Amino acid sequence: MTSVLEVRSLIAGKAHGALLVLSDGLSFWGGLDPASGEIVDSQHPQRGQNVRGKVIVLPSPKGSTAAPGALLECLCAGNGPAAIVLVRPDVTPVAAVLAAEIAAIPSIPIVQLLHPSDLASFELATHALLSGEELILS
Amino acid sequence: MHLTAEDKSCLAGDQGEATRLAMRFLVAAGEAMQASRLIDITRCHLVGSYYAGEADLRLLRRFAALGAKVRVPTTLNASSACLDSCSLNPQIDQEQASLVVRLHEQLGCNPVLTCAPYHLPAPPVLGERIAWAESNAVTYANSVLGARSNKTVQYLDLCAALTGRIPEYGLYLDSARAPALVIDCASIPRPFWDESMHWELLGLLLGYKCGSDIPLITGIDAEPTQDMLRSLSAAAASSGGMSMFHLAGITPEAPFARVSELQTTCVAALPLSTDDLLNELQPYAGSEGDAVSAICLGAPHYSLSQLSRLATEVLSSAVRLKVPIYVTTSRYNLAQLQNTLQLGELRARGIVFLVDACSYYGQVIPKQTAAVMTDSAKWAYYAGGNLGVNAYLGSLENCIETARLGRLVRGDRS
Repeated sequence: MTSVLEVRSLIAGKAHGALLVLSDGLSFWGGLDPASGEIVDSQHPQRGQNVRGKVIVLPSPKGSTAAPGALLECLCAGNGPAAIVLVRPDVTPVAAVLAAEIAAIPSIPIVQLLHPSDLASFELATHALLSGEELILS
Repeated sequence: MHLTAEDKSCLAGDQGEATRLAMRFLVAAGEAMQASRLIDITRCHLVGSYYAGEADLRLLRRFAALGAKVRVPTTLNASSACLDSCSLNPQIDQEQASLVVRLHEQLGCNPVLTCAPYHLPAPPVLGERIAWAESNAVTYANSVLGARSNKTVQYLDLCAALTGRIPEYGLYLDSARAPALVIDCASIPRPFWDESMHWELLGLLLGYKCGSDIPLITGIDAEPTQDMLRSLSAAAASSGGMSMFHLAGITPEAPFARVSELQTTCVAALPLSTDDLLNELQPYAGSEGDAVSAICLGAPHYSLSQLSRLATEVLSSAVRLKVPIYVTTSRYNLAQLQNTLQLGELRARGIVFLVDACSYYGQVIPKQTAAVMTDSAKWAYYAGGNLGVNAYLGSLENCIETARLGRLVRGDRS
């Protein structure tokens, strides 16, 4: 089954990948190992999962003001996600990706769900294709 | 987003490539956060003053190579290592941290390397719009000084410094500064608030109960010192991501005359008791007599008044300390005390003064063989995860007694 969701583009771009829906916010600083892309926060429900190459869904902002630096290192090492889907606006990943553009590090798209209730559509999906203002789940 | 002619000029590259990159960043971040415009800020305090890795260096080097310069006074937060001659950090840590600091200096930043910028001369004033990044400082600035700042994230803070502009959203707006719930402390007797430690516990509890919501704290009939309000700010920003609180009759945006108006936006009221607060000590209580291998003070960086109090207490007895007291503070504060305090005498007793960094980072203090005691809830909250040590929280007096005995002293005071 395929579903098409409306999204607001925060950082433009196209991406596709396996879906990783996080059930709690992720603090990139201390919660994500830039050298592997693995979630290492011992309290996180998805601890041990790897974000590398995946379309990750973040339910809420979390973490310190230094978090963009940690995500930037992860992107630089080639261990970052393929795209980030936000449920609520969050400046942290946006700052990391804008910094990547300045540092000539490959960027990734970031979108926000226009309808937070669409989060339910992710339950049965395993793959996401992001193109402009559309997120296609399958 | 509405841009002024000046913003557009920056964006078009009329004012150089570095300014264009910084302005492009601000506009994209502002649109992401649905800000309607950019506003002027008077000063910045940057979080990126520690060694994070190669990608961060790449960004800083690009700005430095473009000749980028900050447009407003910009200070640097604490670093990942102590950089003075008293540093205990391995040399590699010092070299990496120095490189990051030097690159920021090339951009025109002032390397104060402190997490307590409100203790520097001429702190922000009521209504002043600033872009600070250190969480305890943002909470203190919004709540106690009445200045306005979000918890400005890394790189947004730098781009704000390079342009003097920031997207207007969050706590820059009046509407976002309204409290969401009342924290009612009326049942707690006034003398309870004479003990600094109890403000640390209130901060921890507020963070857990309110998260990032703004509380209106009522029923505290006391005159807290700046150090007590600082404790409250730092603890609440650690346990809950708080950026602002109102303390009825005390903080500048909550005079008694405004309290009933502030209550109108509150959707809940939560009464707190003395026991509720004392319960927050439990994770950090330990047992009388437990082995302790060091005391860590100064998270955030110790103030001048805290340093004086420490000196008075330690020098009041001839007893030498059995375990070291590590005190982190700013170079500025330490320089102020150089002539007035008997630093040599304090060092001989076993006090180690560390500047620039925080003792819960990496290898700022030596690896510990037992638990560490602190007077800071923020330190206790972070040290377990960062350093893998057991942290005990207690009053300054208990910390000093513990240092003299090398075993945990709790006494009657919490």
